[in-house]
Amino acid sequence: MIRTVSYPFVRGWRNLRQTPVLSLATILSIAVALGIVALFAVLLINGQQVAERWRQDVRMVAYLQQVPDATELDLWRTEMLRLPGVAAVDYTSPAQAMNDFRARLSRRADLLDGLPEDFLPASLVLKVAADFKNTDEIDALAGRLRNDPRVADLRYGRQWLERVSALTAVIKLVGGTLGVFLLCAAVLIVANTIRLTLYSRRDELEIMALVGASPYYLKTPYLVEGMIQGGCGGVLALASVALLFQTVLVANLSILHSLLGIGEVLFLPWQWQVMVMVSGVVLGLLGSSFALRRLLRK
Amino acid sequence: MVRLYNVCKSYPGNSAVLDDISFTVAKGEFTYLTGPSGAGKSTLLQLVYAAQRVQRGQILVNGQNVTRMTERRLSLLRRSLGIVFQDFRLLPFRTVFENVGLPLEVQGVGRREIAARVNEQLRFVGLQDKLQRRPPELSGGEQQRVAIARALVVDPVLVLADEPTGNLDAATSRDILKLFTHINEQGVTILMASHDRLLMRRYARREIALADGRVSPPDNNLS
Ligand SMILES: Nc1ncnc2c1ncn2[C@@H]1O[C@H](COP(=O)(O)OP(=O)(O)O)[C@@H](O)[C@H]1O
Ligand SMILES: [Mg+2]
Repeated sequence: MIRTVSYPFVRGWRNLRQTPVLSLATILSIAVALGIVALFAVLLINGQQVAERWRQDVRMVAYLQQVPDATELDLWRTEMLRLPGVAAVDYTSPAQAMNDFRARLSRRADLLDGLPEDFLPASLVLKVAADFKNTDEIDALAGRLRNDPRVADLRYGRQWLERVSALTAVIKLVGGTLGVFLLCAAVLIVANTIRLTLYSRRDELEIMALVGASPYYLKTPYLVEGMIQGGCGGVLALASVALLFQTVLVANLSILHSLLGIGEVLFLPWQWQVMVMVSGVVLGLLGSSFALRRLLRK
Repeated sequence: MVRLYNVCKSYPGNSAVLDDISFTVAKGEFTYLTGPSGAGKSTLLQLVYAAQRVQRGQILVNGQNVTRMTERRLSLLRRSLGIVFQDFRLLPFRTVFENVGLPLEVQGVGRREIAARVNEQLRFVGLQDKLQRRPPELSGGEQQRVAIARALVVDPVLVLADEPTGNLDAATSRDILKLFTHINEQGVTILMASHDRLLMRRYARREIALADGRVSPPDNNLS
């Protein structure tokens, strides 16, 4: 019984070892296909993180013409809070702004030494309500604030939001299209490898069939061979993307991320990692069953 | 055990090899299939174990219609057949032991039982000292005996042998015939293609003679 279960694995593994170059080429092509898809997934995850973060934390900074006194400030604050979509209003005094700037410059803070305390303008930081997140509404709010005579300048990351959204859309499109093509190619490559193995063993397979081997017995080793190739390809894809991620992506993406105040650059969550490997196995299985469809159907 | 009804078979681009063949081989019978080279003896046997498909007609083997059978059912049926191929069909990279054990291996028989039955069978055909050789290292006659051992190792109910003495000298041929006679006496049905007149005269049996795609007399029903 144990033999019946382990047999296809033993045979599948033996097949692999008997054609190492071919198998390796197959594994590599699966790895390339899955790796590219996984790479796009990493970019997508991080792009979406940026977009999402921005969406959850839309702030507008209104730089004020003059520094308000306490009563003015209270008045303005309540007035702005009454505007649709404004969730919170925080005041930053010129001194505070200077302190923040100093902190950001850290070691080079001495550059600011000669400057007057009110060198930087006072500002109101408006937090936009969570249910007020589409760009049209935000634009309308921004328009009202800009027309306010007390506001000297208004800053918010509208363009960023749009660019990031556009970027994630492009990543999805390119990654998806390329992915479908590459995955189909990988299936065909597996099918071809298995077909070659089948061809080189057609005598053996025929003899085995003639002495009573069931189709199941004949086919499963090749299905397993395809699955092993696919699984190896999946693992290799994941490993290469992880390596690329550690060496290149983290460094580059983290610049962008720290600019936007987002914590970490993300790798694929474990569910996705499992999915990459499972996809490899499924690709291999698909490819080999493709090749086996015509076996024994002379 | 074997029944053919109006069987027709032709290869693409050929005229009919077998044209409306009908006959019955009863259980326990030992029958020769004779005819000149190219008469269609091998083709007929291939139809019986369904390596070829008929164009027309029906073939029953042990009560089962092999002309309309799934590969899976067919594989189960073949486990009860002992087939000796004219061209042996041995696996060149496997040892004699592995070749003879193959039919048992594909059925999932355990290692120890395979070893016991293969050794017994190889003793039966006189090759017990060659088990670790590979077929290309053996003479034609020895390969033929390996093929016979592989056919008999499954304890078949029906043996289909395609010129099993074609590569053997007269003495070994007689040994093989005695061997077949011996298993036939234990109730195994045998259908054996041959054109060895001398041998068949010595061990006279019922003959089914093929000529021009048809069964020609004498179909002298001896058994
Ligand atoms: N696979 C095949 N494809 C085409 N023709 C074949 C094939 N096998 C046999 N034949 C032809 O069928 C005829 C009968 O062959 P065969 O059954 O081998 O005869 P026998 O075994 O009696 O010598 C021959 O003319 C042979 O050329
Ligand atoms: Mg022949």
